[in-house]
Amino acid sequence: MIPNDNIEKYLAGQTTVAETEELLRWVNESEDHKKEFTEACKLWYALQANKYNSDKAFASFVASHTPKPAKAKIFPIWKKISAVAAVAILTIGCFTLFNKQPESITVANNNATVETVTLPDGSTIYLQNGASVTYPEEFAATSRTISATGNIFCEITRNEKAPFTVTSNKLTIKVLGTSFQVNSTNNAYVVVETGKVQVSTDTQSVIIEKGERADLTNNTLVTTTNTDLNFLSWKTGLLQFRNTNLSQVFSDLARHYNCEFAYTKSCADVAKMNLTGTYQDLPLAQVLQMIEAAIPEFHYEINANVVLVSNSK
Amino acid sequence: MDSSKTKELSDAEWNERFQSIYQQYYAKLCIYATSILANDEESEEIVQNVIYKLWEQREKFNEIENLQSYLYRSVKNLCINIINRQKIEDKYKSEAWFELKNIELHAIEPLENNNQEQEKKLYEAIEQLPERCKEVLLLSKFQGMKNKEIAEHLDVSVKAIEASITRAFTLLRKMMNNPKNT
Repeated sequence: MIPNDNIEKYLAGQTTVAETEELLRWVNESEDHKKEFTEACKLWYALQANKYNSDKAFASFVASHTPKPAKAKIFPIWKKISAVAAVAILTIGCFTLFNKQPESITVANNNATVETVTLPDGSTIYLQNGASVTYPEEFAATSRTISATGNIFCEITRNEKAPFTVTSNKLTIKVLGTSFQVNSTNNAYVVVETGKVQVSTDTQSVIIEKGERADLTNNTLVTTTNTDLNFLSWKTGLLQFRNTNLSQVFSDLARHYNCEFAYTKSCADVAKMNLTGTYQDLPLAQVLQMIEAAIPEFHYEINANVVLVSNSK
Repeated sequence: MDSSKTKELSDAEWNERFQSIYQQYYAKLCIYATSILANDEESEEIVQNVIYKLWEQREKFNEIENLQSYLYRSVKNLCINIINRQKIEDKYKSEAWFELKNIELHAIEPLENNNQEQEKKLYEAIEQLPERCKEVLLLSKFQGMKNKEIAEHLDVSVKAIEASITRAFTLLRKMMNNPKNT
């Protein structure tokens, strides 16, 4: 008797010891049997291959072996050398003569949480995930200059004798004392929370005040009144909607939770509905539940980081 | 490859090299581990551990003569360690079972040269399966659903799902071996 069906059972891990032994005997009987067995194995493997996601696995592998550079303070190389040994003193001594400018410190935030940096003058910089800031260990008497990338929020200590300047790759922002947000990602913009700032590019300069924003669009600075209620939600954890169109709500939530919203044409009516509500420090699923409770036509499903919007359960 | 060159690889270049290891071997190693352990999650963990260990010793990368058999061997050893520790089921203790696994190992290694012709043939064969068999097979092997999930999804018993998969597999095997008879 050819225990052919046992191959399937064996591959599914369901054979008893007796059945396994029987199968092995059968496999060893002839080359043909062996071939039949190995062909079955190959087919089985070919069928399973789609079950495992190697891209996802590779991503988690990279994350596990990459040291987390969060809070990494990057000191200039010569400070590291001076800390090494006395042997190097002579060289260092010569070197420092030519390096009178203060050391700079770089803080990068690779965490999902907001990172806070206090500058030597007492000003506070908040870094969103992906942002970094470089500042001198000590500010000069007449000017305070830092550079930044990503999305940051600045609360600047007032000092009229030493203007405060933030440089990013596209914009330069000059202030006396104020709080404002600088975003230097693809669509660079500055939003002022309090006070007055001057925003400049290589060719243009504008002054914006509390409640205004400047956007760099096609290399031109455009100033408008800020209507984005949630521009600081990443820092405050507060999401507010006042009679806000759901499509706007989705885009604010997408930015805040770093997720995506998807909906079909049949849900276009849902996206036009308005929402009023305030959500403080809540997980996405809870916010969506509350929206579902407020708007009966709104339903959703969370799939990885994509929120699928539907108009029926 | 020249080992002195390898030493100079930057982290980015190493990452690239490991990415191709993932693309080439990850799924196959997982399948292999699952066939020994009958546990999906544990299998992925084992494979990740094996590749991670390789990463930690990457200076010695070039001392590995045959990467493929190194990977399979490491996965197999780890799986067998687990089995020996847990002695999960009687079948693992049987000599016959280990012997069959060895034959299997030799069978899957040439899979690397998997040709598209074969794959096309497989998809055509799947298309010809009876409706229910096909549905269960696709949910299980292509959507990665567990038998229990499929059972709930289709509102039938787990036993029925197992039976459908076994039947689909038996049919596929016949079709792949004698395509003219179908």
